[in-house]
Amino acid sequence: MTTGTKQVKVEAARRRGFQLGDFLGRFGLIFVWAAVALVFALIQPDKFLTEGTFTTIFGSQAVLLVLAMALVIPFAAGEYDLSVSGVLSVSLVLVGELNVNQGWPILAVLAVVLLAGAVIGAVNAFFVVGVGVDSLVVTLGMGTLLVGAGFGINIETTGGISQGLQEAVNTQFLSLPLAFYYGVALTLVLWYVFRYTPLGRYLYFVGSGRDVARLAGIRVQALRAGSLIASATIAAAAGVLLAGSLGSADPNIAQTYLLPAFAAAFLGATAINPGRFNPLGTFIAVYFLVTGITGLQLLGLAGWIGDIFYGGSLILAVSFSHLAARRRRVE
Amino acid sequence: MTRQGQEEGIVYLSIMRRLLALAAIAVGCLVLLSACGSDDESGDTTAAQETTASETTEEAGSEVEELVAQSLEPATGFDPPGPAFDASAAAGKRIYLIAPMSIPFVQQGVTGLEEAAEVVGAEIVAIDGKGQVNDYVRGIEQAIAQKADVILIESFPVTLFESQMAKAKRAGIPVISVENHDPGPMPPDTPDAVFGSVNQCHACAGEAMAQFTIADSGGEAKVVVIWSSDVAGIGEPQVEAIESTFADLCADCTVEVVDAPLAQWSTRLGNLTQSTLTANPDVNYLLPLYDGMVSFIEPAVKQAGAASRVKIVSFNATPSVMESLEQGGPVVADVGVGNVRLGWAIADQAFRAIAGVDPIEDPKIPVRLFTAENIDTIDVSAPEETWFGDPAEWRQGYEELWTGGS
Repeated sequence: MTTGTKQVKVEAARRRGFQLGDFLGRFGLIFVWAAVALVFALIQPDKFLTEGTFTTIFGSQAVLLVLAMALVIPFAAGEYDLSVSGVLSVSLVLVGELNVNQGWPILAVLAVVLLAGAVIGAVNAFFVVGVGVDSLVVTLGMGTLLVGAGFGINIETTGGISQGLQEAVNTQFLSLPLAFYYGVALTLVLWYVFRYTPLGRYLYFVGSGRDVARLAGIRVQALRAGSLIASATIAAAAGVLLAGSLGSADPNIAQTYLLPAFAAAFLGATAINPGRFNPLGTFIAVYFLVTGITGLQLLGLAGWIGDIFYGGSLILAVSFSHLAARRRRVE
Repeated sequence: MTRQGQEEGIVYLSIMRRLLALAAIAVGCLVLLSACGSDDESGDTTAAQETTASETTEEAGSEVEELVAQSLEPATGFDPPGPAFDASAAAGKRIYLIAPMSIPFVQQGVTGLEEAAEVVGAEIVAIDGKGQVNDYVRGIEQAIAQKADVILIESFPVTLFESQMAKAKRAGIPVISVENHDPGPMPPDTPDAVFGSVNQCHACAGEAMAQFTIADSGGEAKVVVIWSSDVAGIGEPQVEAIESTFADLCADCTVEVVDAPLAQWSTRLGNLTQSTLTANPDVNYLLPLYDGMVSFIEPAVKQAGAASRVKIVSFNATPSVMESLEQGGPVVADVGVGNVRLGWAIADQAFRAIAGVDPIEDPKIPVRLFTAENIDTIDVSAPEETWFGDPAEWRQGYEELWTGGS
């Protein structure tokens, strides 16, 4: 009897342990985010605990958020997409060129730009899925090609982008620009797709094992191609958002978004649904990183320190998540 | 089972420990950093000096207005940067330029360089360095292999390419560094192969920016300067000039300097602008060193609800910013230097290297301040060389300089 009771207790302890580990894995990043915010609030309450800081953190990252969301889809399906910043660049420059220099109405521009994104995604998919080249290589090449194309379309800075687009992006609602809410809406849509639809589950299935997924009757090739088309189309939408928020277009500015978006997607895979690229985790990652950067900026520490924070948090968080996942697998 | 349970306990304990360690590291770093932050703040208080007698303020006021009035005027005549010489030796010579060609002002410089080369019959070979060290190395190696007569390296410090410089030295090819610091003697660590340099006067631009800001604010400017530490060679003299101008001419003004490296402009400059405005609610002037920053700063100023209190003063006279200045945009003043003329100045130094005369230290390219007051006197849609005075004057000046000494 004693052994029996003991066993039951151990079982209960084990379940509690699992729940705690699971809980920490899911929400660890949120705790660290809260801790970072708390530290900044304690160091400089008069500067950090203000509405200005709140709008700085949540109002300035919509383009990065949308681009990171674009990456979540192919990542979930096991594909890389290094061309998103190239798409962002071409889309931004196209908005400037067509809307300002060619005088097209903005809605027509939007349609063309999003279509261009989808076409670029389809070309990526042709080489990756049809020809069978590694997505890392194809999208790296495509990204470089598109950056060149951006310069080719218009090398100059183009100002005076449609007032309507600028208003649709920058008008404030509850102290935050509408761009933020578009990012939130996209996050929620993707979250719903990944969480509640067969499509989302199939994407993860394809990502974890293509052959197994194929044997299970999933249309692996179509999903891989679709994920690349979706990421390029969303990246093109991010370009429209960038054009609206800046009110100008320039081929120089989009490339630097690539690595922060990758960092956010990878960091996002350590939260909410650890080990899987997921929209809510990515959302948290984007705003965790910008909270740190903003806090440091308020302390007068801009520039290289921001990079140290960015890179350091990524390594620590992903290592932690990796270790936690490995321990779980061992058990 | 018990053992397994214990192991699980240990695992979660170790995970917990790691999480705590992570938090501790984060907190530790931040406490450490905040110490640096408070250092900065003490720097600010020294910058904000006490008001002296009102008389001196008035004197400074009229002095600064005079300086601004001078900067608003176009340059007249041609101030020769050095002695005349015979540039005919440059005929048929090949001058290689390695520069980031996708940047519009670099392209304008190339236009000037090509015009000048045509005058003496030299040839310009432009290689795109794309802002990447490996492309620069390839370009320099290519120029050496093809027996260039002069190599021009723009935007990257020559000290980065020590082994290529040694190679150029062995091949007897003079190298000229373009746009890496301010006019003046070469830095002490300059490689032997380097003949000289050609630079715009960034300090002059900084002075003009500061003088305008002091005059425009009536001596009550709370300024944040935004610079890029990854181009420190040209940024430092400009920041120092801004700081010393404010220290000399405006006792009531405060100046803070924040860093936005080039690589972070698109992703973080907007955020930095907002947090800077939040942290310093009385700031009324932003002085980004390069007007390419404005497209990221402007939306952030709006979003911070600071558009009515904050004015932007910058440098470069980029066409798109000049257009917005003309339309009463958020930039109230932009300082510029003629880029086509800079191209001619680069050619002048290259011809001196070929002719075997001494290098010049200062190409003496004037800066001009553009504001609402004088923007209507120029045609913003015309080529930028027409904005800084009559281009025929300096073209003729250089041509005369090159036929001298014969």
